[in-house]
Amino acid sequence: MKGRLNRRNLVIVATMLVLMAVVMIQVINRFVDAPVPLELEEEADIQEEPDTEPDKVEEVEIVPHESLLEGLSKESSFASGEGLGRLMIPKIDLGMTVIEHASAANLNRTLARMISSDMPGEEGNFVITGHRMYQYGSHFNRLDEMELGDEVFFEDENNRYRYEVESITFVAPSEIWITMGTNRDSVLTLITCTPIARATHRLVVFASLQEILPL
Amino acid sequence: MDKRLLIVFALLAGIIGIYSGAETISAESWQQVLNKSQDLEGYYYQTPYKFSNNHMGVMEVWNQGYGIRIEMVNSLSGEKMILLTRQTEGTFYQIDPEAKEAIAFTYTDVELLPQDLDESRYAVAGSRFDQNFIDRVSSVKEEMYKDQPVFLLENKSTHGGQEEIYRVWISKEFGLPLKEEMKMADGRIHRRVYNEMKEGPFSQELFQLPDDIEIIEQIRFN
Repeated sequence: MKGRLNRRNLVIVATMLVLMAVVMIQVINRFVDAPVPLELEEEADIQEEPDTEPDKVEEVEIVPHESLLEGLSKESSFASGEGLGRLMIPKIDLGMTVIEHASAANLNRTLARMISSDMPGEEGNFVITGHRMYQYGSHFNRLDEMELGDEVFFEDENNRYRYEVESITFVAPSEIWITMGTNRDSVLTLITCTPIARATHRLVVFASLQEILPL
Repeated sequence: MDKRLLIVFALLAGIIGIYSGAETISAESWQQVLNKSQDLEGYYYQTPYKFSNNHMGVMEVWNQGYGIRIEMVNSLSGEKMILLTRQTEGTFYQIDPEAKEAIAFTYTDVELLPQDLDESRYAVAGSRFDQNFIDRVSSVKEEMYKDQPVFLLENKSTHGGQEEIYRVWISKEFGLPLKEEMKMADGRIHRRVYNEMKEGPFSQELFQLPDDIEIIEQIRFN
């Protein structure tokens, strides 16, 4: 009788140990060996924003600080809806008039400049927005095809500005930082809705001024 | 079989059953988690940004009520720019803190304007994870991201036979994204990450224009 009890207890203890081990393995798997992130599937084509702290800030010679904001040319002589010039993007076969003020009514017509942004020139951030139309090639329908290094041209009465794409990202509609510029550089920012037909975000293409050619 | 043995087996089987079901039976639904951020007393995060090869860095973002403060430090020049947005008087400010100068952008009648891809949208836009977004979520997964439990939500969109996919890793703790991806139709993926997230409240001073800042330009919309 005593021997039977001992064997039974042994079986119970052994079973409990085995089951506890199974539970422990699941716990360890869950917290230590987390699932492989989805992004690894498409690693090759990822254009990632830098997600680590930037490299050490270069030592800057101490000189009086010059304002980042002075000289930005936001004043426009154009009325809302008036043509500013023409945007041309060979990569996506785009050539469209850009008008002043990105109001809803103006954007139904063509591409438009955000009046909070700067005018095209040597300094600031010149922001053009456009609808992601469903019709292939219409307005900014193909803006998603833009890649780093692609050329973008803007032509007004006096000059032809050549830009090159240096950054592409997406933001929430309320993220206005994308429209801010400084007098340290000259950026052209192109904005449209993404994903197409969902429009929960804005696709943003930043291009830097390379040269200004007088016409 | 002995009764005690059966009871032990039943108990252990129950424990295992409950544990293995825990991944699919979450305490909070993903819809509840998405609403969580609205109940926070404010939140903070850091995220990288890049305008150009000469202007990139990390931005710090404080969000509290209707106030947002963004500090952007150019990692190449060390120069800082501050944005104060959703000011109650309808103005937001771009500030150069070192020069103690700012440009003021003022909206008028923002509520009356159409909610389209319009400058007014930027002043009034609420959560992008609203009912419109929730209705379009096509798949939900629970997983760990950087040791934090998250809901991975996917929102697919198709046009012209091609597909665009938005993925977001929503922190269960904050109800906010820790990572977002936009997979374009050609397969390229644009990605954003949000680090050092923490909950407020923060000092109200962070969201107010300091007294010693000079407004050098005033832009009015509408």
